[in-house]
Amino acid sequence: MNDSAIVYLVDDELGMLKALARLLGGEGFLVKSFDSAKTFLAEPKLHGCVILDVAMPEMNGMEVLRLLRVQGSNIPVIFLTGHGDIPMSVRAMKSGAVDFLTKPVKSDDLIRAVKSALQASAQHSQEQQKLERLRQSHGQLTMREREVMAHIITGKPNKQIAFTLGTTEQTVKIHRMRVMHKMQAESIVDLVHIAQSLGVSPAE
Amino acid sequence: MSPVSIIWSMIAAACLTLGMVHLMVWWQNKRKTERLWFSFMTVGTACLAFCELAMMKAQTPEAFSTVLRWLHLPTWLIFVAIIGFVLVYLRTGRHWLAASVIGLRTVTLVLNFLFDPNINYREITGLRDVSYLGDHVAMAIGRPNPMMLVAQIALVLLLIFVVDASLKAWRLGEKRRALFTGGSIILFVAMGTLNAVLSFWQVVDVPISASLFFMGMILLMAFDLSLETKRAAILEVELRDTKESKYKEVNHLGRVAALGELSVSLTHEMNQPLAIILSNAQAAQKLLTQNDPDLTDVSEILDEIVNEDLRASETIKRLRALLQRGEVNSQILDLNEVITEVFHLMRNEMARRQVSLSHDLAHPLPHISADRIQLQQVMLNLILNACESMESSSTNTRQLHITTKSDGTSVSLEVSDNGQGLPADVESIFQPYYTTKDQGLGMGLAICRSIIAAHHGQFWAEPGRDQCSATFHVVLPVKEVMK
Repeated sequence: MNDSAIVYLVDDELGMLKALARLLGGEGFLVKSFDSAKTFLAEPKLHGCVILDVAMPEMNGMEVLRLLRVQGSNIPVIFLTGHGDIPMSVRAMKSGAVDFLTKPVKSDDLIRAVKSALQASAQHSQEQQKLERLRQSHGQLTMREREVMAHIITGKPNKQIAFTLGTTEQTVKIHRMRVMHKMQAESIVDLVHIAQSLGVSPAE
Repeated sequence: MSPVSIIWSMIAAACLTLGMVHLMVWWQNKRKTERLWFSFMTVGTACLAFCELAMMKAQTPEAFSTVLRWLHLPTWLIFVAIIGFVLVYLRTGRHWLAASVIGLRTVTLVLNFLFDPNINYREITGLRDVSYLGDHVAMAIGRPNPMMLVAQIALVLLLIFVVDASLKAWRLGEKRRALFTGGSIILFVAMGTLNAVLSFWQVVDVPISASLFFMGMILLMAFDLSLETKRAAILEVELRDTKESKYKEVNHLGRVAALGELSVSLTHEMNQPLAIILSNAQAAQKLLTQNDPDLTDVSEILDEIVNEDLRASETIKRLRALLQRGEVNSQILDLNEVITEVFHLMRNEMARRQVSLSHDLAHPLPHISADRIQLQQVMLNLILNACESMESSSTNTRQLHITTKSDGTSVSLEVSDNGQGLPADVESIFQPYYTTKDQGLGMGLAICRSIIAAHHGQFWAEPGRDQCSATFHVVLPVKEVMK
């Protein structure tokens, strides 16, 4: 598990906030508590997860989640409520919560939910990081290399690419090698996947 | 004083006393017209008694005949009063018979003043001394006037009217009234009639003693009416008891209904401490599995568990008090405390409905003498109504503002919201069964008003500065001022 992951606790009830912080702190999680949704939203979110109380006076949990997504944060959210009913849990899950727990919550359930949320968060951030790296690599390609890459992923042989680009087959071969190397692609199939995740479209 | 003077004076005095008593009963309750007729009867009988006494003690035939002439006036009054009484009290009797009796008796009265010396005699030539009830009394010597048959037919018709009315009342189940009223009138009027007929036609040497018989009738009827009064008093007590218990029941229902609307929040209010206790206890369990647990942490956790437990039991206590069907229990209390307690119960409901509460409570507030639970009920209803009014309104910020203040003689509470405002007819909201909710009883404000009235206070509503706001005012007297 990523050590820098933070569990954000948001509950208007101080007693509840303290108890949960103690419980999760005891389990070795890094916890940050907020007794107001507004201060929580103002806080820059690192990676981790959020435990959100549904019934809060100034803003309910669903609204907080919506605003989080508007801010562009994909941090996983676990809802915690004193009176959960089925319609509410459906709404919560539809709005993108990873879990929905009712108070009083057993520590095992809470910890399991937090762990899986953090895992999801970690996975997500790993993917983010990988994508970021790929983006950088793609940025390092020359104009010609990008052109060649767009043609490679169509599956055309070098000869045809050379003909289309008005160059020699040997030159295309060299460009292809550089592209594969810079993009750290192990095969053409791999490069096609990378192109897809970067949104690079094949040449016409 | 001679025995006759004493007896007849006593008759008049007794009649007037009874008459006064029943006139007062009528004065208190104008619907009891039978009491008014009864007092007319007694006044008539008292006057009759004076006339009879004057006749018996008359020295000259002229004096005798003049009094006899005026005697017909109280007699007429007695007739009318008997008929009125029977019609009202037995609620039976044929109207045409009643009209005939009064008509004939009125004709008698007119004829009486047309004939000289009166309707009973053509002429009175002298007086004779008769011994009566151990006394010497005067009786007339003269020629009877056959026109007095009109009066005597009226008497017979009255008897028929009363017999008919009593029989009908008896058949309708009013047996006691029929027996006392009908029986006494029939018995004594018949005896009086016999006495008059025999006396005027000079068959027996007995002077006119109608008031003696009427007195008997009046006593029996007074006895019956007193039974009626007693029964009414018992009924009134019973009615008051039922009313009180109904009042309590409706109040209790109102509280249960209000708490029912709060059920979601109240569950939360109960659940929250339990959740905090569980999480704390599990945190402590985890702490204690460590090799060298920090005992200050554990003791802090235990403190919080105790606090939350007390909070939960406090909520249960408040709820139980509100749900109980208790007696009204006036005590000296601080209105601010009552309000704060209700805030505790409703804190969650307000959060759930996203109502922001602001308050401006005057400290110190003079104490009032009131029932804590009933005042909480009023607060509960006012806050709940405000929350509901704001929920269905379009305003973005739901503001509930509560103020207490005092001018020294009274304590006032204001609950303002920015909901839907009040209807044009503000008073209509205090009527029972007025509701804007789908499942409302419509009793909330009606009950609140009756509670505040029972506390000698005032309760009203006012529109706020703009269309969509309302302020409810409660004013209660300060403890020292209320006597």
